[in-house]
Amino acid sequence: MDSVTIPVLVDQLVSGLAIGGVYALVALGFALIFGVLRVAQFAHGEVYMLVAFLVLTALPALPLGGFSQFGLVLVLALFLGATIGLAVERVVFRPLMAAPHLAAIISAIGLSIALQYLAAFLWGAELHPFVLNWAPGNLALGPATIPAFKVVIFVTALALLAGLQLVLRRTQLGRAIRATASDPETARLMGINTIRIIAAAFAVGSAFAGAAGVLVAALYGVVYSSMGIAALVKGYTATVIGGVGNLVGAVISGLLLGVFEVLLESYVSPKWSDAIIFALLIGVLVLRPQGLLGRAIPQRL
Amino acid sequence: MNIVRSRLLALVLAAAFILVGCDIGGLAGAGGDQIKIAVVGPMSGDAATYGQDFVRGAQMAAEKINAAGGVDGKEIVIEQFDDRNDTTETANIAQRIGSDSSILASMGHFTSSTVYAAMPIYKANRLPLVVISASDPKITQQGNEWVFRVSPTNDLGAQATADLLVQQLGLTRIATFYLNTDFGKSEHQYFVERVQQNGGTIVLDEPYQPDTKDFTSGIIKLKNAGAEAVYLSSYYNDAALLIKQAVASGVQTRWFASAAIISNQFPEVGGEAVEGVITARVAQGENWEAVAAEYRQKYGAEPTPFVIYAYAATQAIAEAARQGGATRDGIRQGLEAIENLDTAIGPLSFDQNRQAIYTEFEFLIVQDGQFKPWTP
Repeated sequence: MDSVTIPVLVDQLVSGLAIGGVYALVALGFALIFGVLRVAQFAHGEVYMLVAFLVLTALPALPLGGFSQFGLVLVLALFLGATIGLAVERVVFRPLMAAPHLAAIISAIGLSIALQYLAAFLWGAELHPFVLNWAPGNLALGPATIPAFKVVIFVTALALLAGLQLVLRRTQLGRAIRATASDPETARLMGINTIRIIAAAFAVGSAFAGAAGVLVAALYGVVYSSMGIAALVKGYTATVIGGVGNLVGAVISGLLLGVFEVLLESYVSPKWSDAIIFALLIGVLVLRPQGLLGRAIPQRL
Repeated sequence: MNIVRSRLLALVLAAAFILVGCDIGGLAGAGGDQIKIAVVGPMSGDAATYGQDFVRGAQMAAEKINAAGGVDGKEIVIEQFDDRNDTTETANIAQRIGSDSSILASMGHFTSSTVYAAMPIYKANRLPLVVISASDPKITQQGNEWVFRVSPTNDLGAQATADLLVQQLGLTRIATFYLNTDFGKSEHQYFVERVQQNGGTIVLDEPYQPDTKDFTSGIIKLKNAGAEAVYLSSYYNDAALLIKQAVASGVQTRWFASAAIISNQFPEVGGEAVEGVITARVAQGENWEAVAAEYRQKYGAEPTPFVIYAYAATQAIAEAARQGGATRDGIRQGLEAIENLDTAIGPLSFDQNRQAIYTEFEFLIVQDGQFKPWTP
């Protein structure tokens, strides 16, 4: 039964890359915010969850057919994510900027719990079906038949990630974000408005979380109030393994984590895959805190 | 401080002795003109609706029996207790019920885990317990003569479906998915054993963890397993998601699942993908329907099976008191003697392990977003 054939392996790799692309989006947003703020945004998963719920609520008002609905949903998710991110930064993080980091971390955890209960209160704690009008069917990839939507998710994630790289490398805003991440004090002395840069990082990072939220909702066909925790745990794992503050590392390890997970579930057991992944996380934290792909200097963007 | 503490301890000990004393006094069976039955279950917290179902079912039966003159002139009285669906609290509450000599029988504890926690305490207090929901077949196989069950066990539906698949439909290559918990593992085991006895082959045997939302790796295996049918030992959420994701990945097969999927949420979450999914449950006859209709009229909602089982348990306890006498031991003996008693679940008889015997099954199929009767 467990004989590995090429079609099966292709199927597994594509599925792993699709979910890995989602992990990479979450990890990248988390790393971006951490980079400029030096504080873990533990309510990042709830941004992802809230956007998925808001888009679900808006879906009946978007009766477009096929691909245009998918495109519009994605744009809406990016916009909603950015808006929520800005609000979270303004309400929860900015007032605590001068306070010890622990205060900001604890208030982020509090926000995470509050938003989960808010969603359960507003929409109900049960699973809510999430179905787009667009069903791209299956794709023949050599000898394998794979769901085309998984390829779409992977490509979408890659496009967003590449877009961010372009912004970071080629624009004034990108340079300012990188400068703030590498040394907030000096950046401020050089005339960079670091408060605005932090807000910008929140907007971009949370927009990515929003996009990831709707991609996962469409992939699994469901939205629920505790979905953010699973996303954050995997995104955080990818960030740590990639090296905290290392954006390229976060993307690569997010993709690898997705593939690794599918292979573990397939060839070891679904009972053990999470345990093995979190053992790996602990191992990295203990033995190589700068991450498998990071350098010893954490201030790298 | 220490003196205060030791005095407190002395007081607690004294209270405990008094309680034990009550208990011994209770063995005689202080009846009066009442037969008091404890209904125990989760009355607060997430599962509180199930405890409420227990109480409603028992209360409805008690009202009916009392209106017809009670048990030899004695009135049936229902008293509710909250075990919070927690094993520690269950042990405390079972002890409290056992120590109350005015209580002659108990019914409830929602899950198999809480029933296991309560069973030895009922035995020590010589108080009969009637289980009305917990479905682990092994509960009544422990040799505890104080524990009876009127609700069905989870092996029955799994075996009925295994017979349907292999013997009636001729589907012999079967894939299984199961929730990796006590419920899922035991249900799955009964299914697999029966399929193999019938000469079928299990081509995929895939566990998944609670709260799984991504069934990708299992679905890829299913695509390549060459299965003619799939059986899920799952709850409604997992089953709906698994089927939905498999259908979206192009899997075409026939789907069967445990009776735990019967919920409005199943077609709600699963949508079109779960049309045609089949499940087996114990047959619900005329009496069942009559109680359900009464419930609908009274509470304006569809009753869960637990309402009916609580109703039937109350009827059984009343009849046992009539036959064996209104004492704890009398009710235990009366329950053992029950044979083809006319109850809400139909004719009730217990096997030698004090488990209600179920022989009739019915199949349901999801059609137009609803569970409807189906005949092979």
